[in-house]
Amino acid sequence: MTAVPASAYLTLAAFLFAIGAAGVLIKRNPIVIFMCIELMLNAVNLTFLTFALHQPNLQAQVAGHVFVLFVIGVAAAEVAVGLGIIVVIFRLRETIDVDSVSLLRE
Amino acid sequence: MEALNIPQVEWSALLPVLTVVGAALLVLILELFLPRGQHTPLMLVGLLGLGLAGYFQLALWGASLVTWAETALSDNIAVLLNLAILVSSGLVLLFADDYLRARNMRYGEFYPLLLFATAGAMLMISSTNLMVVFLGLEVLSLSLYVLTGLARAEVRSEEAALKYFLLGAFASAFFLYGIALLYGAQGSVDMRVISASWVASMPGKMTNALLVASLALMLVGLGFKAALAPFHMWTPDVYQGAPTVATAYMAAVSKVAAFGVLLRLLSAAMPMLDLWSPIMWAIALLSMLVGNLVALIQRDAKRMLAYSSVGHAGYLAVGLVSMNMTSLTGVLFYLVAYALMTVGAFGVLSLMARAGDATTVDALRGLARRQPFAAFAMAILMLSLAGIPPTAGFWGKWYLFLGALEGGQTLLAIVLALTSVVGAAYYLRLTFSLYADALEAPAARWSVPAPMVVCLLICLIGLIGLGIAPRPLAESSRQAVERMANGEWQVVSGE
Repeated sequence: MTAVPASAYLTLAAFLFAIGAAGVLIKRNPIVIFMCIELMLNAVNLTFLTFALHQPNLQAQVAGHVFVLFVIGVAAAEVAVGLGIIVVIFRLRETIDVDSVSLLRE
Repeated sequence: MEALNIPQVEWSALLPVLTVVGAALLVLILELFLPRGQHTPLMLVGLLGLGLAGYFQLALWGASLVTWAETALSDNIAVLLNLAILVSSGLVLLFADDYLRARNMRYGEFYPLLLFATAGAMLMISSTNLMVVFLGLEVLSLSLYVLTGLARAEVRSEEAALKYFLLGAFASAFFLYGIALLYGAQGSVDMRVISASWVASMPGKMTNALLVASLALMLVGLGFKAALAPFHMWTPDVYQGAPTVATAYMAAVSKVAAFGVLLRLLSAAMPMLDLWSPIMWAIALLSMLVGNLVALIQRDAKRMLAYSSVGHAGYLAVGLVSMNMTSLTGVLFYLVAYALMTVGAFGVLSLMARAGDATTVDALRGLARRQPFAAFAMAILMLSLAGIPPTAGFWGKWYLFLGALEGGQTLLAIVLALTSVVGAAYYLRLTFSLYADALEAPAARWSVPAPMVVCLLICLIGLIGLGIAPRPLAESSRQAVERMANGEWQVVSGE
């Protein structure tokens, strides 16, 4: 069995992270922006797991795995808060486009 | 396969954080049993919890504990900054009730959210393990997003919350990616390992590149939290849109927490000084210039303070770039003073916003006639923010300035002095307008409630006290920094 090299995973993760970051900057819908942020977080998870695979001892491997679990948990908490805010905005003004969310600019 | 040891734990190191979490949970349950809108008991329980946590925190002074499998730590820096966080949270709790009632935001969840945010901020400072730091950052941030959007009926508040949330989540993704690369480089997410891994890594090798990239990414994430330029774009909108009590809280607490982590991270990355110091140099310069110059043309006092907080972040960054005993002492001193000044200043603005008055600088005109005490307090707070003696703000800037000169950062020291003069211009303009005649009849009559008087008195006594006798705090800060530099840890772990 030929193993997929670590560099392949890392490159994929870097690409996913870059796509997510680009998406945050160019997309206008907050839900899509949010999906892009999730993509970035998952790229981070992939990076962690790849590195964890190549750690010499158990303690170091587990540190990476546990971190991924925490990231997943935090991402879920972010979804709850983020969607809550988006729902309230939609109720107040019937649109969520970030370009029209500009009352604060004087 | 090796077995995982169950590490021995020293509870006292995390006792302050746990007390705050306990108080938050208690408040959360208590709120269910109270009649709607009756929140005084919540405030009292919250204050009690914060006071108790402060007591436990003070008891840890002098100890350098590393425990909980090396994920929790308590040193003098943690004690000092956690106390600053606890005091600012307590002050905000004191005057929040009145504001929330007047603005018709009788949401009981304000109190537990504020306490959870406090626990998160304390956790960030009480660890060198980046996983714990990240969790603390997220607990703080998620609570702050909700607090920002607390005024559910106001579009402004919700828009600020959305903006803060999206940019905050974006920034923490960068921070996380930085941690992931650090993990790849050294197999551990502990900051204290960084210097050893850097010394061991060879130029041109993978480890070396990973360490550099990870530090850069983490600086982006923390720079956002600390409102350093060019990551400050969210600051004015969020500060203006959020309910003023939430602004007071986030301005003080998230800055203290973010700079606490930056201080630890950058001093751990000391061997990489040549690499990060030009970046921090540029960030410091840009923050001082952008923050102070843009603040000069703001008409809304909340926006003005927001931009000025970017400027203050720049001053603190000067202390981090200089990286010597004096400048780091200055950073700690300035953070404590800054927390007091900001909470007080936004507190006075919350009094105005509460009565439905605008928070523009023009609306502040003639405040001295109507509210002599509030105006006097605001004037002292502004003088301290401007760094005029005998206030704490002066000594903070003085140590940072001396530290920059000592560290050979002459240009930064000059820019610090010059931008302070620019800062003095807009702070004094606001002060003068307090004592000038009002342009028009004020929209509403209001009084200063008793809790606010107590809060402002604490701020004033603290600031003037530190201004007259800066030595105790400066000595303690110096001692804290020295201990960190010497790396005197008492590690409680093992089989």
